Amino acid sequence: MRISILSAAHVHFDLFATAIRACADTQLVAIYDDQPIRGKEKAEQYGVPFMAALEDALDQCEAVVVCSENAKHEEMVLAALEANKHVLCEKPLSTTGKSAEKMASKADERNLVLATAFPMRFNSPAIEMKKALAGNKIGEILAFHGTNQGKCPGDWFVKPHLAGGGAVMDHTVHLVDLMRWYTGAEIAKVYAEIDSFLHAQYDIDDVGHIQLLFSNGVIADLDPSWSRPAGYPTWGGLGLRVTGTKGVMDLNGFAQTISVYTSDSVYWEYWGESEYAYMIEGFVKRIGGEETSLASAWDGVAAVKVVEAAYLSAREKEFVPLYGKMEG
Amino acid sequence: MRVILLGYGAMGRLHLAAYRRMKDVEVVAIFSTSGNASIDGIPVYRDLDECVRVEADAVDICLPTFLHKIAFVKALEAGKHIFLEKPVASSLSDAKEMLDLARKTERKIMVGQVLRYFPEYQKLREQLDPEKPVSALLSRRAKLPEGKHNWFLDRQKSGGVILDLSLHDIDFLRWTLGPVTRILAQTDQEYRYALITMRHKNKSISRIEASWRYDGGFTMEAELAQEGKLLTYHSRYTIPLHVHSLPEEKDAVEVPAIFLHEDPYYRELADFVHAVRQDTDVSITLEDAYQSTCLALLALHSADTRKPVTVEEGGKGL
Repeated sequence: MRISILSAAHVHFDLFATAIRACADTQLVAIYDDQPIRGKEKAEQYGVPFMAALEDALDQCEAVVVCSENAKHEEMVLAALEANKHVLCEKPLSTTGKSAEKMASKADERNLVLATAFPMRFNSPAIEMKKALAGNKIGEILAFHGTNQGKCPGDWFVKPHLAGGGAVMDHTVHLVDLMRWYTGAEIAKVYAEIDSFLHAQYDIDDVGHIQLLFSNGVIADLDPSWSRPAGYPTWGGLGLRVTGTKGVMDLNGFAQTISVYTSDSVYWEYWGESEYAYMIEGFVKRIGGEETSLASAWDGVAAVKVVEAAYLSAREKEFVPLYGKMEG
Repeated sequence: MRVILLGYGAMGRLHLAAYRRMKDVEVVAIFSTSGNASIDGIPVYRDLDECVRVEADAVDICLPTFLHKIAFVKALEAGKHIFLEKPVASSLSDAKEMLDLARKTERKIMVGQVLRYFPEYQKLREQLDPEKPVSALLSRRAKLPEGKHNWFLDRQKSGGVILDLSLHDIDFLRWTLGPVTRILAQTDQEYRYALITMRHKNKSISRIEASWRYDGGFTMEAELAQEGKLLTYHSRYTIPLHVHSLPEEKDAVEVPAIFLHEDPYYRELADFVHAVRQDTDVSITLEDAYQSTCLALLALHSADTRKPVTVEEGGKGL
């Protein structure tokens, strides 16, 4: 399958490009970027043509990966869908629930695949956790305690008009999606305390502490903060503790590292697998009509709505309802 | 100095062991409704009134939380100095009554918010810039405790995992980050697992996980982020000696594994003894611990109403 990548704005670009080239069924055919310098550099690095016009990149392929700034997802995804291309879109699907819904509906109308890039669904440790939960290893789920902190990515991520929000917009969706995937339940209420005090040079949220209540009564909290200083030995991490009626499971999605000590630094080298090749494989299978664990556009919509509710909660200082009524 | 020990459960045992290592401190009586007539040669009383009237300088209250107030009142009436195990009380009305009495007495009263005596938590606090807000994440997990008639499991008696366990972290956060302005808490139906979010007056945001549903051994975690700085602590990763004997037996109430010549229980009690002997101020007053207890009770209230609670001084609004 011929795939173009639309925009090299996101830091995950290299993961996508490498995965598309590694996957036996896919070829990277073109790179489009509205910033030619950035796009050309990547095109050169991966030995594929750079397209200055979006239409030209779309002409080359059957499917696209959208890897732009969050605020440009809608425009690029809609253009790709209009051109009859299947789309795998970087998370968050969009910066507002309404916009994300519009994208998901468009894909449904045109009978095309629009998938949300939630790579944790292809993370081996996270998959093992799903199996263990399905195997009733810890009984019924009672609570989630999640962390998905990272370093401040800077660049457009700290510009509200391009990112749509800071740490809460950037990181919340991964854990929300994992929790939804594990429980099969929807989030009923959201509470958040959000602020900006870890990176004084940027005026955007960098601290977030979020609590969730699921429709089936499961309680959860998560921390999406950019709380890792520049000297932290890796980019960040993702942890999730699930407490059940019969036990507890602790997931550290990126524990597979070695530690490296040099004369003036310490860092962790990851030796676990990249989820991206498996996610691209899932994308191709989904286009072919197969069931995979790939997150749909509507999974992306659900996660964006939680983010939106988190910002609302922080403003209103209330535990805000999301999908209305509770079960039972 | 002569000390009367009220209660001989998990905490009573730890306190007795600490007193026994102190010079010139003698535990002269123990109140306990179970066990033998004497423990290590110390007479055991079955009657609380009789016990608090034994000639002594101080009473150390290690009873189940719901009995704190009655023991506190009796000990004060008997003219004793008091060391009170946390939490102050299991209800706001009890806590208020005790606070009123504490304000009127000349006796020394200290509350065992022992986490303030853990060197790792002292180190975490020291490393922070007090001028800057903090993003904090604390966790405390243990297996389900087993007390006498298991009073721990009765929410009215123990306050569940929020009042009994998360209070350690609530107090540490209040001590370290200052007053709290807003709380939201959620818990499971049996009050054995809780998630608490607090907003502090200095803008800091803190979050606590407290679990009595954890079978991986007593675990404490702390993560404190400030501009340009991140502090992390995990009790399981800093244990300097692991012993795995078969079959593994578990204590009725799990407590942290401690590898120190002077453990935190010893340190807090030694401070109390010093304050009584030298007639100096105690390090953790009832007034101070009362504020933390109120926060835990507000967290319980938030969990029950599923609403954020605005904190007013002195637990108003409960």
